[in-house]
Amino acid sequence: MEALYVILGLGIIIVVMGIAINNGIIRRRNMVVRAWADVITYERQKNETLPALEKEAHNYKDHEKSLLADITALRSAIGKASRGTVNTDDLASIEAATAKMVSGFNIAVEAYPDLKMADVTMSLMRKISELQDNIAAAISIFNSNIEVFNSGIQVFPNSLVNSMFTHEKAYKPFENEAATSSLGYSPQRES
Amino acid sequence: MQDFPAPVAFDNSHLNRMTLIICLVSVVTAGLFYINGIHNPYAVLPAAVTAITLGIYIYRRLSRKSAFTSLSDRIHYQSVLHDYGLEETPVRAKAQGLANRFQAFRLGNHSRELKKLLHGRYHGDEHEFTYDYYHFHYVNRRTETYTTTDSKGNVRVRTRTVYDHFDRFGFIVAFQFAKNLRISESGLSFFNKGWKSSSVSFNKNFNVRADSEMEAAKFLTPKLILEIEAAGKALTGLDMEFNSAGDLCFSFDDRNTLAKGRMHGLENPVDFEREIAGHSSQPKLDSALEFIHTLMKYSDNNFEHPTRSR
Repeated sequence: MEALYVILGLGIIIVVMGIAINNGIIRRRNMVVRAWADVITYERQKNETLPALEKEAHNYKDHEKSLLADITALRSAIGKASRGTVNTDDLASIEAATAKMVSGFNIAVEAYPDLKMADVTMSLMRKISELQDNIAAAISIFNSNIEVFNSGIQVFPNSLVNSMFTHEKAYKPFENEAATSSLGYSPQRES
Repeated sequence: MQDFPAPVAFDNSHLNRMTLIICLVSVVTAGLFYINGIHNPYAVLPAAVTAITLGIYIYRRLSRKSAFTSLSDRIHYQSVLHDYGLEETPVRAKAQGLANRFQAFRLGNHSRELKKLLHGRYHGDEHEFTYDYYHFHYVNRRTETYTTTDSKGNVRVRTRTVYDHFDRFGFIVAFQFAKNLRISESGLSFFNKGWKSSSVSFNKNFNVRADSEMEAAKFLTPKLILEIEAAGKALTGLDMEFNSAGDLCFSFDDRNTLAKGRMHGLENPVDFEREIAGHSSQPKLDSALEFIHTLMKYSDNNFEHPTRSR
């Protein structure tokens, strides 16, 4: 009879542990999705600065055409990204379009030193710079949450619970290709 | 200071001479007692006089050395205050006034005391602000029970009052970009309530309380979440309290914001003068002020003019 109680007790402990691990995996997955939504939200906040940038672009006559084309490309890339579905390829497109647009804007601003000192231009540049800082931070939080989530499904006994019940797959962290290529290094395993 | 011949030191020649004379007289007296075969209680007098004289001599030498070190510390500290434009403010009866403004000053059930209050101004790239740096000391009183066992083996339960002393350090700054918000490393529990950020590691280390979730979400942008996490790693017991009047109290346990860290002292007056003539570097103070500036920079409205006053 005592052996039965022990087996029953152990069974209850295993079930409770399994439920806790399963819930933990789901909680961490939701945190990944939330962090991703933050990244996209901040990317979309760029939309607020784009009308002002378009207006500014008219002042930079020699660069107007290319600036407007960059802004349109960025707007289109932002429009494709979804807050609900984690897709780092979309993010890579937005980041590439942003880098191109910011670089074009900086070149235009340098060509017109008088306009560079204007309050509107300075406010815009500050706003874009702070937005980019926030996006970089949001990406960092997103990657950190992915690390926690991936560890949470790969370590034992979580891996067992995941393979039997939760069936979650590891997320791929976002890598800034421009930064990686400028570094000329990416971690690789020994063969 | 350069008029002093290096190295500067106390003139101990008089003290040395007097000590030597007293000791010699004592030794000679002891020798005479011994030669004359005097063994009464007065024979120990020379030894006692020698011991007391040597004791006084060592004490005087050490206290003079300590006074010298402490004078160098005071001069260096005043130099730091001057370099950073800090002014000492009288602290009498200030703790109660601050307790009305911030919960951080309502700690301690026995006594609260503001030990230091420095007033300064920070000039950042985008914002300028005045700040008060403080040292707050509080005491908690509690009663604890303990057991004693007498020689017969009887165990008695007794009570005693224990006073636990704590120190907190921090900055008080006018901060108009957030209100009724508290971000703290303390007060965390397993079933922690309050606003949660999207960062797993931030939620693990910080407790966020706000009157409205919107206020917390608006202020805690990803950039600030990472900045606060970094500050939390550098400081112990970090607490940020934004009150309803638009003031920030940013406090922590670490006492080394204003570090002594001098390289030279009055023993070496020329190098010491050169050291205090240059701008002293206080990396912890710089980091703390830069952190407050970052909080302002990333929570202001870029299309309004940055603050340049208060």
